Amino acid sequence: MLPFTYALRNLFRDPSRLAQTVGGSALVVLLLIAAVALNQGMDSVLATSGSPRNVILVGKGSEESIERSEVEIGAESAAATSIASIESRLGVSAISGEIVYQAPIRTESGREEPSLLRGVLEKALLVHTSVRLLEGNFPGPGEVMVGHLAHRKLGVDEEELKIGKKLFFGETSVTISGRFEAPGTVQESEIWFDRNDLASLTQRDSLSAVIIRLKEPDIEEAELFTFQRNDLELSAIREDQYYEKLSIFYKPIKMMTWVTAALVGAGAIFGGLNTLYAAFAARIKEMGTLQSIGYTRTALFISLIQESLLATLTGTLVAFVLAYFLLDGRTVPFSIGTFTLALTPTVIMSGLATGILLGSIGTLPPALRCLLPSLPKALRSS
Amino acid sequence: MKKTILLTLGLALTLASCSEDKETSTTENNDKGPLAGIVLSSAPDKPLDIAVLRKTAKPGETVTFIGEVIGSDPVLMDGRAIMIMGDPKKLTACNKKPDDECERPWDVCCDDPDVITASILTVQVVDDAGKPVKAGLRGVGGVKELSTVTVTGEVAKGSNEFNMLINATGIFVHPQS
Repeated sequence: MLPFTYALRNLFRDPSRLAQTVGGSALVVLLLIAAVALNQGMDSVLATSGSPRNVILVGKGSEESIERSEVEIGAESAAATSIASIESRLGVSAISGEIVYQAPIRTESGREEPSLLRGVLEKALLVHTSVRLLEGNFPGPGEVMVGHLAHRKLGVDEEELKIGKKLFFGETSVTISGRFEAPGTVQESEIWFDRNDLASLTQRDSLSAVIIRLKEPDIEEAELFTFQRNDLELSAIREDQYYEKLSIFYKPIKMMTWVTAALVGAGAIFGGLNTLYAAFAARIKEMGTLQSIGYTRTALFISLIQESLLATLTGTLVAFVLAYFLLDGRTVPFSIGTFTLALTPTVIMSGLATGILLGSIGTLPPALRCLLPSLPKALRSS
Repeated sequence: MKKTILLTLGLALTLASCSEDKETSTTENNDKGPLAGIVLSSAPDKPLDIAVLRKTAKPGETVTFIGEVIGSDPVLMDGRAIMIMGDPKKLTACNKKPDDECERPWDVCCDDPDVITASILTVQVVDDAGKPVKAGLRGVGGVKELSTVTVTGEVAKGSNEFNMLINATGIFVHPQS
């Protein structure tokens, strides 16, 4: 076997070529990390946004979009009296009739962005158990409570959504009375209104959904209720399954991130291959000389792979450092909420695997081209 | 080689007998399960149409009516003796329309929502506690989506002009033509 120092010394023969290889592999690994982190972040927030113990009663035909659903106001009390398995705390049933609406919201600075609005009464806190009030109070008439990441959804500084600041729904202003967190869920980007306020602002006399929290994750009684009261035209769906269906809806977007990463990555890989072909072609005579003094083609091949791996893994390390400073902890808004990019073990292992594959499989064609010529031909090459 | 062939044949026969047992046991559930007692041997006389029943019947009344298992999606609940039935004289299952390849024709999605609401009802088989029996109606006497069924039973308490619930005591599934 050739000594490891041989491979290390060869790397610095041509510093510009080394920089190209390191830079190219850093770019490919960074793109892959970003794509994996994006997909994981979106899947994670949608997976944790719903609870298996919560059941959403929506209008028939609106199972894939609560915003389009219409549910009679009377459905809330009908469900409360008919479904025995609803959880209750201190005698209050965990059932929340809500209005869910997507509309542009304007801040005091004039920035206007679409936002997810939820009209609730205080019982909503019995159902959305991940919600915690950070400061202020639950919204009353003329007030709203904003999620911890609502400022990211609106594209404004956190300062603009402090308690006491105003938000505008059309011409109507509302005052921020509280801030809440709901870690890892889409609710963190929502703006919660008093239900009666949102009903008058949106001119509706119906709810979007009735959300119930059950003692056990068993939807049967809720389904039975929808059959027995078919005049209410309801469908029952488990909250976690509702968000799971939404993640299928975002599949095209996730596919696009992979396609983009693959296209840019392919360009970087072909560029890298080009560089390696040129680098190894200039060393055919050197390889022939080493063979003539006794080193086998296998030993030379392993040395070339070592060289390549050193370069690509250096690029991988650069990619990890860049990802740490540019991506880790970043929040990304999307239509129904916000998710956070994180360098999880899966993301890191994906990046590492890519770096290793680039250095090993990516080196195969140029290395084989360099080692395949016969010894006399290799020694005669220029 | 011989051993392999014999082993394969033996495995195939075992699997075949297992699946036969499964089919037999499913049939047994339908014929002898907790709901077998409600299957009638012949169709009751003079059944009313569902749309007429909805206008005339009162809670506590014993009624006999005919309809199809249509009017919603789903119309049959797994694991519970409850189903939706609709009046075929007012509602048209999508498969009866030419060139309609609807995957769930029993949802009568092409009909007017107000007509649907006025022409459907819920049929359930209850236990002694008044709750729907914990067994599905699918397959009982041949019940499935789009089946034509004559039902006898009592109009449940709480039924009103907007919503009718029938506690069935007998069902007859008409053979499909």
